[in-house]
Amino acid sequence: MKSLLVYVSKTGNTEKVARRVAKGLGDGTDVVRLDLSPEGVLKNYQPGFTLDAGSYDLCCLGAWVMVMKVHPFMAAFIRQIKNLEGKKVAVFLTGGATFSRGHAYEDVIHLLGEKKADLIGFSYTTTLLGLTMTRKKLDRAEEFGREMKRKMEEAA
Amino acid sequence: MDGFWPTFMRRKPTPPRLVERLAGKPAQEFFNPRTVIIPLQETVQTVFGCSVKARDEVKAGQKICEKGTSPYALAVHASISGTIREIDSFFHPNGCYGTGVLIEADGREEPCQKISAPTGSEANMDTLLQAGIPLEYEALAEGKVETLLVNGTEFEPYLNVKHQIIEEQAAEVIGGVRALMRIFSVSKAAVVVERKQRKAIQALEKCIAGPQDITVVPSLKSYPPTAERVVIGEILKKGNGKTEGEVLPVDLAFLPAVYEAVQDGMPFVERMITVAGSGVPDPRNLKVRIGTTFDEIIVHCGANPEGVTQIVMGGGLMGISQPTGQVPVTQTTPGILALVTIGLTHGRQSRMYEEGPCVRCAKCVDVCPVSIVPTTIAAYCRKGRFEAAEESGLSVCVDCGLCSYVCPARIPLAQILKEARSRNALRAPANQSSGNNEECQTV
Repeated sequence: MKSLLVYVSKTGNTEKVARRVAKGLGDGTDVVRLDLSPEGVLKNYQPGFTLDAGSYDLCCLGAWVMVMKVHPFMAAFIRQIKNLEGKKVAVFLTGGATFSRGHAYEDVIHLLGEKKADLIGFSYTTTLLGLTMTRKKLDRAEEFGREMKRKMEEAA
Repeated sequence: MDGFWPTFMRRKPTPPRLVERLAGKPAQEFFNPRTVIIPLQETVQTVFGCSVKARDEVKAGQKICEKGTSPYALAVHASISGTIREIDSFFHPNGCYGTGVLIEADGREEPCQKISAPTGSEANMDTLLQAGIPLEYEALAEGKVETLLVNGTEFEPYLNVKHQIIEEQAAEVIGGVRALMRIFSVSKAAVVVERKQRKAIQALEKCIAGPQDITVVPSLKSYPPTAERVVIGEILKKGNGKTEGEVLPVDLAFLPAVYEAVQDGMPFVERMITVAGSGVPDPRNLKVRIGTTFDEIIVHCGANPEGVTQIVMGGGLMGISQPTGQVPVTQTTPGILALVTIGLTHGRQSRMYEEGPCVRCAKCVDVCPVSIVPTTIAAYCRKGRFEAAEESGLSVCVDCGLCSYVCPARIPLAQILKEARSRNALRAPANQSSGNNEECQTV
């Protein structure tokens, strides 16, 4: 199984979660950090970066929640990535407030609905100033990655 | 997070320097491109007389054309040996179409042909013209110039080419300055280098040893290549006391070519450029032939041409975005940026990255090196009041791009000003068109 993991991180919480999710997904995962400047330019060279999901079985998208919505970088990425129709997509979000989970989920549904993608998993990790990022939450993230892998294998 | 920190801890008024990654790496060579496009026109107005035709065989260094008007007609040389496939209209990196010659390489790597003009101690202005070095000959030949000013500071955050040229070819740079001083009987010269670049300053001072006709001026700031007037005002008055007589800026990248033309009679067919950006695995300095297309250079640097979404001639601040990769490197190209971009301004999600109304923070006024008010001028330009914009100092703008960088409302100030200036230049009467040409050469 070949999977693409794209994440947006500002302070490093989403990065920690993304690493554990990638560990759960196992080998064959291309991890890309979507580190953009405000003009939309990728800051550093990313070998796995692509705007074409055609060659992957699973797209795993991670972002932090800003004003109860998916971060604009990830939203723009979802809008512009090609060949996402009918593709299996898993989304993991991190955010400071627990109650923005529902709003963010609706936003994800809306964004992926536009692309006609198939959302097979959703996880939301609560983080506040980095102190609440406990080992338990990271373990849960890894479990999420493993679950996604299992789902993909069952589907195959 | 930008708003979270106190003002002095937020984004700096100038972009972070990315040249440290490049420092210390020697420049590499890329001298065997498959095709080259030799541009014959910088603007549509450039006069040229082509002496070759399609399907002709040319050799590296062979003179194929003369551009400009006599007595300052510049020679244009084929930079590789091969066959001329066509003479057609090609896109020039300055942003316009112009006639160019497309040469297909035949794979023979022959040494460059030498120019037919006196060299060594008998070298004169004709040598430089025959070598095809685009200097400002009219001003030089008048004999009023007293000081040559070489801007060795690197303004662009992505590029490192000037430091690299000074470090690797310090002797050639100094030799080029000396040659120019001798040919045009100029008495003084100053090379401005950033104070941080100790290696470059040491290399220059080592080469100058002896007659103290050339001064190395360390500066704290870096200056854009178009802001020579600012350098003259800020640096030369402080460094050399009061400057008298005229000061003429010379592009640093031409000096090694001047030295080689005078010493060995070599034409100006290669130069050093920086290739950087998020589309390139490792940024580097490359010595390339004039006319090599951007696509070929980017592929040579290991980038995936399909993944690169934006190609920029020049650096991140003053560069010009190119519509295609089939654009040649010219004698004035300092570098290429291959960028991977995502459009952020589509859709409701990304409204915070769209342009907003001016919030009157005056950051653009603070950073402007020539002390104009970009936001007011941009407002005038948007209303179509170009006379009012001109009165507020539109023509003083040096296109440094810092105002766009600092603007918290993301107003494309530099772009608006540049557009308005080119529009004014087009509208201006014919006697000002020569000024426009010069501007194109220095950009």
